[in-house]
Amino acid sequence: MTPASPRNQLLYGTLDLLILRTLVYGPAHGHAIAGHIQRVSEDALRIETGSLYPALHRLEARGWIAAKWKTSDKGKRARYYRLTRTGRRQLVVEQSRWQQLSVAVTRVLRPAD
Amino acid sequence: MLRQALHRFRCLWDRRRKDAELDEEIRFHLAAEAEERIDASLAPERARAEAQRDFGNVLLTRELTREAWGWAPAERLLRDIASAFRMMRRNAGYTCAVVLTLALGIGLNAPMYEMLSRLFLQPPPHIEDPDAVHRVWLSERDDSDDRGVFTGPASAWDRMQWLEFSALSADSAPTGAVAGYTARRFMPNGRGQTAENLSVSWVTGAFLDLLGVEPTIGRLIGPEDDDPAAAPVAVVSDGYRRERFASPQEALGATLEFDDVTYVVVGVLPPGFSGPDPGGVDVWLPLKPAVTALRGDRWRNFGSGFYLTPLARLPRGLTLDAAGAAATAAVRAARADSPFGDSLDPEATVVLGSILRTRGPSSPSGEIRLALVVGGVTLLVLLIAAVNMSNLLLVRVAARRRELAVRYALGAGRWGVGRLLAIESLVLATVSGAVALAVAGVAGRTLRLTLLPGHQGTVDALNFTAVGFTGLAVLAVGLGAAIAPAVYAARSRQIERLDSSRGASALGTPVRTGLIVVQVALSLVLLCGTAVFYRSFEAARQVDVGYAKENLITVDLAGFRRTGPLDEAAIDALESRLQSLPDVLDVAQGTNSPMWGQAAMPPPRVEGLDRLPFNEGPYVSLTTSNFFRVAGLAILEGRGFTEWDRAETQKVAVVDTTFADGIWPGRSAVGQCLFFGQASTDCTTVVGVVESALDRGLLDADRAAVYYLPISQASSNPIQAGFVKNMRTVVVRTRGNTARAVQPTLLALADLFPDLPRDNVRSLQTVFAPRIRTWTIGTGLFGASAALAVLLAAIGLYAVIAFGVRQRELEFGIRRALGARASRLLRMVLTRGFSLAAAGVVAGTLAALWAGRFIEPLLFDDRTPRDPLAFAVAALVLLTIAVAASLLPARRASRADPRQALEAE
Repeated sequence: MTPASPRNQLLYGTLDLLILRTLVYGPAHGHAIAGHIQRVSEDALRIETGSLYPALHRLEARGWIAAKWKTSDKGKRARYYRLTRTGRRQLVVEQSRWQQLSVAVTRVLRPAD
Repeated sequence: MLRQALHRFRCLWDRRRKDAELDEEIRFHLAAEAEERIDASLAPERARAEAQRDFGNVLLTRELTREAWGWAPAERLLRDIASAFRMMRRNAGYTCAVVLTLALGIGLNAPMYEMLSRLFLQPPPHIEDPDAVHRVWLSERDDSDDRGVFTGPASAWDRMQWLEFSALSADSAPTGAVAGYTARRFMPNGRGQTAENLSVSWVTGAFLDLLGVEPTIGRLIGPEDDDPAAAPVAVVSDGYRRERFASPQEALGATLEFDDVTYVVVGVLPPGFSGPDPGGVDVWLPLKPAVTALRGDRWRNFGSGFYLTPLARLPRGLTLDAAGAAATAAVRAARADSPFGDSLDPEATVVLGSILRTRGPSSPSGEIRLALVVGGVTLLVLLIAAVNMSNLLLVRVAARRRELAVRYALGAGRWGVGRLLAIESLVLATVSGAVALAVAGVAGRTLRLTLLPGHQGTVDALNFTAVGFTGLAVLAVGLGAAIAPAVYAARSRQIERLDSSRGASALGTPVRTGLIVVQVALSLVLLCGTAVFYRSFEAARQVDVGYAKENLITVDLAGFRRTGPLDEAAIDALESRLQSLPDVLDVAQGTNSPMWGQAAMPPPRVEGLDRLPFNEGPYVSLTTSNFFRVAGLAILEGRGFTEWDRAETQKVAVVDTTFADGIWPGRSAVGQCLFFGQASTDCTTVVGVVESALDRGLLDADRAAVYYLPISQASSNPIQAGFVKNMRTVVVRTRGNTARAVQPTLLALADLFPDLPRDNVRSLQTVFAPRIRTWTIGTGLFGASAALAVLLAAIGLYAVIAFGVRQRELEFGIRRALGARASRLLRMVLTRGFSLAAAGVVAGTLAALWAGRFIEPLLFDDRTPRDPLAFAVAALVLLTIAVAASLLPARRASRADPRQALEAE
């Protein structure tokens, strides 16, 4: 089967950054991560599950986040993801890359400044 | 890096657990989502439904997430392979058909390829830097006209006489190091019937060293062994060592006895070494002492009939052309110096070629040609098997349209389905390859022994070359066979939708029918080959050799080097002992061994002729009076010898038709005179004419002129008396099969002539069989291949027609409902099968006409490979089988149920 094209409108790789950043505040399950991003971005970014779970598992395979089954506050078993040490380092890298990109895009948009 | 790998490995390990976990994770997500909505005061069912809707395609998410686990490609491959195996299990019959045919195809090709590559491509094993070793060819014209001027085309030989060889191998050798060897010959080691027949090659002292082979134990034959005064030594092959001695050490110092000379084994060669030719040699002997012991000193002269094959190892920097030119000059000088110079082509040239004889300038021998043709045939079988597999895959793809449509609907790309088909095809091919190795192991040996009995095979039944070939063939066939089905599947995607379980059935049909036509055509080529070879076989088998060769045994009493004349008392004792055997009808004697050898003495003079008009012969045989009756040579005119032809009565002779027609054309030979001895006026009267025998060859051109004289009158002529004294063959006519008489004959021989080897007792049938070997093998191999090919074509045709009928079942039903007769539907389907086969027959006929050139040189007596009768029979066979193959589906079509058709509409 052909690899799926990114389902969201996010720039490729941005989702990873958002997930890593979210997990800085502590372990969270997938639903909570999606909710957090949506809330913090004031509904501007809606993370589709078709992208979220592949991304989580991909980050886990890379060793940037780790997963553990825990009972959620509502009493159900949920898979909690936490940031690993390499993940933290990766977050710094990703963040600076994003900032560079963002600065660059801004320059392009306002060249006369 | 390590952690990632570990992670992946763990994922692979507990994929089931991971799958379950992923399910639970998604379930949790849905539940959490639903709860959120319930909190926002939605009804629980509605909340769940919306959560589900927002989540989207759960299957797809799961699939994509699995891919993120990082082992998706491997898992997908495993899944596809598992699916391929499931498919194979579900269609056991189909799988068996494909695997069997493909296994046969590959399994026959692997050893064939191995054999041909040994003949044409690979240098012989254990030769150091084989590219620097060259076979030396002498190209010369044989025919000279009356004035001694050489004419005609030159032909190349890789053999030379001793003086030419010495000119090349002298100290100032023009071509670097030169050494020589003789073609192997079979010689009995020791005496009597227990003596083993070993294949022996004589070599010059430098030979083994020039090849660069290292002995596994002991030493090689060296230059010091060239000295006739040196103690005779021998070097043996690894194969012979294993057969005779428990260990290599035991072989050292053992003795062998050839022609009364004892040789001491001084070394053992490495396994697989067979010298420059593929033929197995058991024993290598030093040339000079061995040939001198056997032939005296004359062998060094020109015209002695002794030849050896030179090999040269060129020094670096010397080109082949330069070496050839220098060698040519040396050989011409040697010829000019010799007293026989006039009878030799003064413009002979020397050419250096590859060490492989097959790559040299001479045209391939019949044996090699046959091996090549068989190689082509097995390749054809493989091609047919591959086409057949492709076709069966295609039919299956068409039958699986629904499944493929579902796969497309689930998002499988065109590429994905193509890959699936390729994997299925490859899995089938791989399983076939495994079976093929078993086939190759069993068939390879047999095939090699049948085709090239004189060529030593590799030590192992399966070697790297054969296995490598199998691997490549599996890959090529697996991928090649998947092309057509994959293309079809990809195209069908654009046209077909999930709901179209019928219609669009015409799609892929051109490819399918095309493949069938190809298959039928290839089968026809093989059938034609079979028929053509069979015709040659029959013609050759029925050649009249003159002798009544059934139930005839010859006992050659002159086979061993003797001191002194034959023991007449022992011959008489042998004759009466054989006469008394229950399975023996009659016994006669002659100086010549029928169908084995020919001998000549100074020819008789005939009145009115300066010399006899024969290129060859005439040959002579002195016989007892009952010889013609026992040997089965028919007396065509006059009489044979009788007991009244004695020393004191009128001298008589019998001639054969070749002799009579050559000397007295249009006249009766009976009553003519032959004069023996110079200036003799003593007339030997020709009293009878017998049919001409074929002592060698099979063609009428091989019939040489022969005259017969009675043994009872030989004493008066010293040459004839000498003949009788030294040569004798006892001819035994048996009652029924010769097999029962051979053993008692051998026993009698062992008592009376203990020195003679077993081989001297021969049944004429066994002497004849090798002469028609080419056609026996050709017919057998072509026949077997053709049978397989026709079977495959029948299966393929059946599959295609049956599939077509199933596709059109509805249509047939409607036709029935509209009043079409069953017989008409039957005819419709049969016509379809017939026309497919007919197209194949036309294409195949054209292909066979073209391919005929390859077998033309192999056919008996210049028969044409474009034999109309053979072609007609082949076409008839194929068309009949095609109709038979479409009969079953045709009956099914004619029984299509109109009710079903109407209901379906």
